[in-house]
Amino acid sequence: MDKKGWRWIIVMLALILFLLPQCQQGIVKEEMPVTAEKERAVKDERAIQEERALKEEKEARTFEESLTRKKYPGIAGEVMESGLLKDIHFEFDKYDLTEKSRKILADNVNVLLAHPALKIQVEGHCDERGSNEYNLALGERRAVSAKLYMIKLGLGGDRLSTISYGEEMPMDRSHNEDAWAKNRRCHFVILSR
Amino acid sequence: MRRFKIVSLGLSLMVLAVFFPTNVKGITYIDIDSPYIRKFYLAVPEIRELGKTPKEMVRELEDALTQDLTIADLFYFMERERLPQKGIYVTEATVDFGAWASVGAEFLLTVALSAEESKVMTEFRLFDVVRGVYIAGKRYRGPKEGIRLMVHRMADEIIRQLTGERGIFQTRVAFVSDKTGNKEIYLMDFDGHHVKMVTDNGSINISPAWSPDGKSLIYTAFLRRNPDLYQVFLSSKRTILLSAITGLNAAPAWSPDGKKIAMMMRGKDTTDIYLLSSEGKDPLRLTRSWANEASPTWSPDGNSIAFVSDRSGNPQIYIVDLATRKIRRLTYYGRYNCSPAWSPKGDKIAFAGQESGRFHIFTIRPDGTDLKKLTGEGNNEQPSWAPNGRHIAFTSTRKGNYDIYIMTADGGGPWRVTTSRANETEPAWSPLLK
Repeated sequence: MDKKGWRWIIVMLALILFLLPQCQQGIVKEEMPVTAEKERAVKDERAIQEERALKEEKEARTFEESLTRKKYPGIAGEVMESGLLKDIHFEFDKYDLTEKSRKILADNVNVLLAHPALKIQVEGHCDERGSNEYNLALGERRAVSAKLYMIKLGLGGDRLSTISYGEEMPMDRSHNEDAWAKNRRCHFVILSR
Repeated sequence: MRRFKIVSLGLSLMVLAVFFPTNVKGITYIDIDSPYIRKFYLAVPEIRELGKTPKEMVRELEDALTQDLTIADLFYFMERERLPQKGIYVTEATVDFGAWASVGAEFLLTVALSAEESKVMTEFRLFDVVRGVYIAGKRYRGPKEGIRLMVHRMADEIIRQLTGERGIFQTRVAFVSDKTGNKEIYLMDFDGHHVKMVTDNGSINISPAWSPDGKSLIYTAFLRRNPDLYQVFLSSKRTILLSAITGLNAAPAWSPDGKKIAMMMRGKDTTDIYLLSSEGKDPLRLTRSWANEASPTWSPDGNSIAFVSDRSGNPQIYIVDLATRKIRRLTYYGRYNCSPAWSPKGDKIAFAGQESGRFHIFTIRPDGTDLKKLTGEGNNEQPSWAPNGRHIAFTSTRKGNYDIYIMTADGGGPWRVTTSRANETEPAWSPLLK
C-alpha cells in the first residue's frame, strides 16, 4: 500500500474511535444499560467531578471570606489572618505539641497546601508568668515546634517563618488561668499571597 | 582656710562651697563592704532657717533628706526632743561634742536653708561626735526648682564622707511602662521623681540596658516586625538600629568595659547567648545547646556571664566562664529561676524565683552558697542593682498592678517609687552619673 492509503485508514480509524462513544451513549440512553454498575460509575464520576469543582469554588470562596487584614500597632506593614488557620495552645513553660495541636496543624497544612502561594509567619506567644525575656525564647521555641511539624507534614520550609512575641501580645489581658491558657499559643498570619 | 568649687548641674548652675578641708585624713568611717556593718546613731537637729524661708520649702528639703538618708540604710535617726543645743545653729564654732556624746549620738548632721525670691541656698555640716571631729561641710546654691537635686547632692556627699564611696542619690532608673497602652521606655530619678519618656514609637519596647558610661540605653523593639536591638543616646534622643538579624535580638547586656554586648539570638531551633561588638556587629555564639538560653548578665570583672537556661527541663541560672567556656549550674532551689543580675560589687547575684506560684527576689553568691529570699508579698521580679551594690530595684504586684520598688540588698525597705495605674516593669538602675 502506498503512503496515501495508510493515511486514509488512520483518518477513518480516528473518526470511528471519536464517534463510537457518542453512538454508544445515544444507544445506552434509549435502551437498557449495559450493566447497572457501569452506569452508576459514570454517573458517580461526573457527580464527583462536579462536586469537586463546586467544593473547590466554595473552598476558595470560604478562604477568601476567611481573610481579614491585620495591622499591629507600632509594627511595620500589614498581615492577613485566616479563620481557617487555627491557633494551637500549650501547657505552662512547655513547647511540646499536644495531640489536639497536631490535628490542628495538619488542618492548617491542608489549607496551605491548597494555596501554594501563601507565605506565613508562625507567632509564638506566652502567658505573662515568668520572665518576659525567657518567654521570648519560649515563644520562639513554640513557633519552631509548630514550624518543624508542618514541614514534616509536607509543607515547604521556605513558606514558613517564625517570630516570638513572648508575653508581649496577650489575647486576654486578665490575670487568671483562663486567660493564661488562651495566651500560651501559636498564631498563624499570612505575610504574602 | 577656704576652698571654692564651681559645679555645673544639668539644668542650672549651682555654686558649691566647701567651707572646710574635708576629711583630710581620708578616714572611712563606715566600711560598707564589711559583712559586719551596723547602723550608726545619727542626730539631725531641726533645719535652721536663715532669713525668711517658706515653710513648704523647709518641708521639701526635710522630706528629701530624710528619704535619702533612710534609703542609705546606714543610720538610726535619733529623736529630736532628746537632742541638746536646742535653738543654737550648731557649726564648727558652736558645737559642744560632750553634750552630743552624752545623748548617744555617733554622728551629727546640721543643715541650714535660706530662700530669697527664686534662689535657694542650703548647707550642711557633718561631725564625728565620738572622736569630736568636724568632718566636712558644703554649701549649695540654685534655683527653687532645683532643691531636690541639691538635697541629693548633699546626701551623696555625706555618704561619700562617711563611706569613701559616692551615694546613689543622683542615679536614674530606666524602666518600661504601658501607660500609653503600649510598652515604652522611660527614665526617672532613683526615687521616682522627674519621669521622662525615652521612646515614643507606639511599638513594643522592652529590656532597657545602660551603657557603662551612662550616656545611652540599648533595648529591644518590634518596629520592623522583628525583635531588633536599638540604641538611644539620652542627651539627644538620637536612636540607631544596632542589630537586626532575623529572630531575637533580645535581653541585651553591656560588658563592664563597654566593648561587648551579650544578648539572646536565634541558634539552631533554640535561643542562645551571643557576644557582639559594642556597635552590634560580629555576633559570636557563646552557648550551644538544644535548650533555650536567656537574660545574660556580666560579672563586674567581665570574665563571666550568668544566664538562664532550661537545659535541665526548667529555667535555672548558669554561669559561663568566658575564657574556658565552661558552664556550671548556679541555682537548684525551685523550678523556675530567671532574670539574673550580677551585683556591681561581684559578691552576689540577684534573681527572680518561683515559690508556691509566686515570684520572689533572691540573692545567691556566685559560688552557689548563701541563698536568701528578700521579698514576701505579691509577685516580685526583674531585679536590678544600684551601682553601690547595696540596693536593688525590682517590680512588684504587691499593691495590685506592677510598680517599681527599691530595697536594700538584704531586703530592707522596700520603698515604692512608681505609683501610676499603669504597669511599671523592667527597672534598669544607671551607673553613677557625672
